[in-house]
Amino acid sequence: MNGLATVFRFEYTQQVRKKAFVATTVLLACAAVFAALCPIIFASALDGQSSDQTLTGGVYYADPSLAGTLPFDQDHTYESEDDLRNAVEDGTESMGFVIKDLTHITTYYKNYTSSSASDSGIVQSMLQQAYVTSVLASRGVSPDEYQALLATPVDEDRQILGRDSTTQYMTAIVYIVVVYIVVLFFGQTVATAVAREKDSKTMELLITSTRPTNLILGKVIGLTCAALTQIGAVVCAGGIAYLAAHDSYPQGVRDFLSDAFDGSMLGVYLLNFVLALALFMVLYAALGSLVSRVEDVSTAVTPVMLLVVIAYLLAFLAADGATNAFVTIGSWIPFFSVFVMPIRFSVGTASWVQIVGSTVLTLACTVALAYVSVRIYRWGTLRYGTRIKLFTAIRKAFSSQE
Amino acid sequence: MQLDITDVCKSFEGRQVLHSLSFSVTSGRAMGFLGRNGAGKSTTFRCLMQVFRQDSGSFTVDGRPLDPAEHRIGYLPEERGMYAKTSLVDQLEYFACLKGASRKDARRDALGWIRYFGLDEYAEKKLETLSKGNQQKIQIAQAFLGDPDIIVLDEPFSGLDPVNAQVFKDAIRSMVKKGKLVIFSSHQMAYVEEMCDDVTVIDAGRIVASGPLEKIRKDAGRGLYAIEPTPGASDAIRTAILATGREATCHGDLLLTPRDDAFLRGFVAEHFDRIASCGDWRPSMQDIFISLTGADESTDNASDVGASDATGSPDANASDASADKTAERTDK
Repeated sequence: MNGLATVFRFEYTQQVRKKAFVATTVLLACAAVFAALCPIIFASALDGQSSDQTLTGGVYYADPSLAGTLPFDQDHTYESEDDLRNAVEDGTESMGFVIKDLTHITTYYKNYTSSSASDSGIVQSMLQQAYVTSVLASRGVSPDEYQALLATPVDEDRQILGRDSTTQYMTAIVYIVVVYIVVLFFGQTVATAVAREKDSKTMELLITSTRPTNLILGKVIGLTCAALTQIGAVVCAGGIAYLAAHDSYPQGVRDFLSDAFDGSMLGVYLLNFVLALALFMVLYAALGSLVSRVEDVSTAVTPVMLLVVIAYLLAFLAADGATNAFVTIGSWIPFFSVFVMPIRFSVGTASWVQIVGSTVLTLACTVALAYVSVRIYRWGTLRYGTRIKLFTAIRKAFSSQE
Repeated sequence: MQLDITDVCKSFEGRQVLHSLSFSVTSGRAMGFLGRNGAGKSTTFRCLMQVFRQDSGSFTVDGRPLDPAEHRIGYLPEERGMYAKTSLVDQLEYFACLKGASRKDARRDALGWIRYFGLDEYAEKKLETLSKGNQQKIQIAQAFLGDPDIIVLDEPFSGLDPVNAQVFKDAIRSMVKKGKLVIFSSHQMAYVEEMCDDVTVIDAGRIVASGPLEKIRKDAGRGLYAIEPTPGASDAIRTAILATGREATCHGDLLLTPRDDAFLRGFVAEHFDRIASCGDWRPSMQDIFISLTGADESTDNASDVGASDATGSPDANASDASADKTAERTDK
């Protein structure tokens, strides 16, 4: 136990003292603060936009009685169709609208793009609105009455019997991306750390000083805690910024966030996050011990990266509410379940029983894998030269007397 | 304390590399464990340190199985390295803690050895910022951490300059004086002769000699007497010996002849002015080593140990063995 604590303390302090680790944590914390302030920044930008919204391009009203119907700037209103066409041709305007009447227009484009098509659609929609309003007015319905009719609300008594996946989607995506990045980054870190010990010939000193179990588990737990420290620092920074700015959030955003942050879901995410790190890191550690040089690590860990990518894709399918065989089976396979099952649970396609079952299964698999990894690590300690294949290492680690 | 290595066998993938090794090491006496490259020295140490498990045989301390958790062992492997990007004191503290020391004691011990090797000013620096020689001192220091009872050093002098080697020799000597059990391997026979009380020589996984160094040298001397003629007198002395009907073999600057006290007393008195020194012949460890482990490849071995072109057997002709290395003599 003392050896495990010593290795853990050393690995943890070495990791969190690294300049790269500190710099990354600070950058991510700044990003979290910025993200927490985004609703305020964008809300004020949208407020500014709505007050003086104008249309893009130039306009010529062939029927002078329609002048001012559309919100174009005066500078972009032309006296003749030729003037407008020339302005589009020489690039002064990106497009030009000739309004013949409320249901007929000619549009000039310098280049026809998806953006200009969208702007053109807005103009057509406004003209259609003006046309309907004018027709209704001629039949005795005032524009205000018409607007009031359009704004008639339909009261919905929403009874969600399962989970509201629309509010959980955002947290699900955040979980998938974070666990994907952290597993890949810290997995690579642990594999490199093991390979470096072998490369620098430190390993023989280590395994004669303490048990391989202490070395593997101390390293895995140390780096898992380092990852949690980093995530914790980022979440704290974002949380503090959120609490400070919370009162300035638009009401819609506040409602959305209060629905999105579900305490039980956060617990499930945290548990699976820790399991994912532990599970993949023991595997990465074993693979790191199979190479003799640090530069061979990336090749050795490629199969695990493939597993992580597949898990990532399955998790995205699950986030969309898919219930096909891939997602269902994947959510029970330990390497995928840590990604998929919490997502299935968050969108309501898995129950508490299933989440507990997959957690137990993953935990058992992690312990078994840790045992195998320790054997591989121990066996691979003094094997130098070309990279050893994983299955060869497993076979030899359990059959060899060495 | 006595470490007994008894009938240790080890094979790798069907090839046996250790054949029933048996020898003992006692505390307060330094044991040199010698052998050519690939003879099985490092494998023996690794079995001792439980890096590998031996196929059969045992390692016992005072009759009880060796247990690294119970017996404090300082180990310096042949292929050694440490954390390049970690400060000296941090990594020595780490290794001391792994050996069971408390953090406070570990740090004090680490700083003590850093000071011993004259590296105080680098204590907080990363290992990679040190010269290769200073890095080696730190590697050596880790073997002495935690006041070990047993010290196992695999090629400890490899790569050390004479000054650093002297510092290290002093450290080993102080450990031996403290009653520690010290065993080390080396290719540098001069160090072995200087440092060791006992020697075990291994060849192709088999022990070919083991015991007190002096006894091994005496036995290797085969009752021969060494006469060192003054410069230019070698031929005359040799002729004089041969004229008495006795053998006289050249070995470097020495003439070797079977011991016969009555004859020698008269002969030395007669040729006193042409004899620089004389005494029982004690072959050097280098000669003994080459003789025991492969006379047919003596040139390779000689280059390994960085010394003479000696052909191995003490009674064979030697072309360039220096007198101070090939014999231990008594002054006239």
